Amino acid sequence: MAVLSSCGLPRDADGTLDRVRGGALRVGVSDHPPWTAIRDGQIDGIETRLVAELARGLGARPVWRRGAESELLDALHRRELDIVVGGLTADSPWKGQVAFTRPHFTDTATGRAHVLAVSPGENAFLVHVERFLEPRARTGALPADAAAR
Amino acid sequence: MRIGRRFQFPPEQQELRRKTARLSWLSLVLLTSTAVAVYLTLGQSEAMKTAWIEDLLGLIPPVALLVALKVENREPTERFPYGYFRAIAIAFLVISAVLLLVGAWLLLDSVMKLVEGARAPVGTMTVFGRSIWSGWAMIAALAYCVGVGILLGRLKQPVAARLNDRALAADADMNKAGWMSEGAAILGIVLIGYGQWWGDAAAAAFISLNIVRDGWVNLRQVVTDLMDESPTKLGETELESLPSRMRDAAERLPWVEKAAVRLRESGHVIAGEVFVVPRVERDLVANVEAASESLCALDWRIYSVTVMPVSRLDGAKLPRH
Repeated sequence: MAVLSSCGLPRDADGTLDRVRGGALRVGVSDHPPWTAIRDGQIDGIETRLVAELARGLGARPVWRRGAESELLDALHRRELDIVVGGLTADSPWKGQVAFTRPHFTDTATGRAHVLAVSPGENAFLVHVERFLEPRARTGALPADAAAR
Repeated sequence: MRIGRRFQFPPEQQELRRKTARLSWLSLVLLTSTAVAVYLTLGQSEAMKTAWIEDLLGLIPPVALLVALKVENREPTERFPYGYFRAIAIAFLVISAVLLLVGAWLLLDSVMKLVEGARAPVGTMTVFGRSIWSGWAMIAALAYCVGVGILLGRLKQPVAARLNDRALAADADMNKAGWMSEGAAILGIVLIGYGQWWGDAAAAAFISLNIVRDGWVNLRQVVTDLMDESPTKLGETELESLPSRMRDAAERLPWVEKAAVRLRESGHVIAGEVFVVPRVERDLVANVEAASESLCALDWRIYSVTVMPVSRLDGAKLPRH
């Protein structure tokens, strides 16, 4: 952390982190319980709660956009969104189009690594999100209460 | 006279050949370590991917050299009465074709990425329990590659020069092109760090151009070899004066009226024919045998010289091109 802040690297290609701080965080959500859940207009789920906490830390107001995974990831690739959640895993074919974070949850039963997606080339933002996720990362089987939801 | 004898390298060259083998083994060890270092930090950077492939391709010439050192000096056989000197040329033909194709493919790939405006995500990684920006790890791995490339190039160049070994010279050249590419990749990563996303694909394009260049240089070298080019100095296209010196030496023999010489370079060795118009035909067989012996002694690289008596020589000089 000391090395990073002293050099100020990496920087974003489009200044996402600076724009989001104290501003709006454009979040794409596709329904994928237990990671994300859209019920009667209410947004909930493990990953959406993570993103809400991330936004609070940045003093940002989350602006939610609901949609299908492919539609949202395409918008993310075009940098119309800042972050997309929806039970994405690291082996997704979208890997080359958007930037996946390091896993926030590794499922020991299936071996799948669950990630969030941020827009590509926004590396200061990516590093910020990964550092936010790092202490919250979990390994194990799906939490029982989440699976039941 | 014995046909199909084994070529004897002079003691100094034998020592240099052992040194070539040691340098090739050293290359394999060091280049494997750099390939592992780059692989561990690879990420989604185009420049890193290209540098990694170049690193892997750099493993081929030392392997080819080691094989050639073993094979080329095999005893000629009934099936291959001219010996195995060409084995290395065939290996290099394949390698240079692969370099050209892979380089062209990587160039296309990186130019496409540049046109598409593909932005490489470079996040964090954990090193010794601390999470750092992966870019720093990539730069460290690449810096190690640069060091290895400079070291190997420096060690090989003088040996190649003294052994007049084009394959080793080409290998040293590849090490040099390699560390320059890795330097470009470092620049690419630094540019990503500053949010200049195009730096990554631009560095990758530069590295691919280097690979294409390696392929082209090697291909030209090996094609001249397979085309029986007259001996040339290492790293130069100018023909050596050896054929004319050999002709003069033949014409200085008291029994020779006129002589014409044709030499070709196969790998490390030189072979060819000397056509002579005899002044006197007494003791012709003994004279021819003695001449063949003495002309072979003009240069250590000469493997065999066939002396052929003829009644006359037409068209004394071949055109330059």
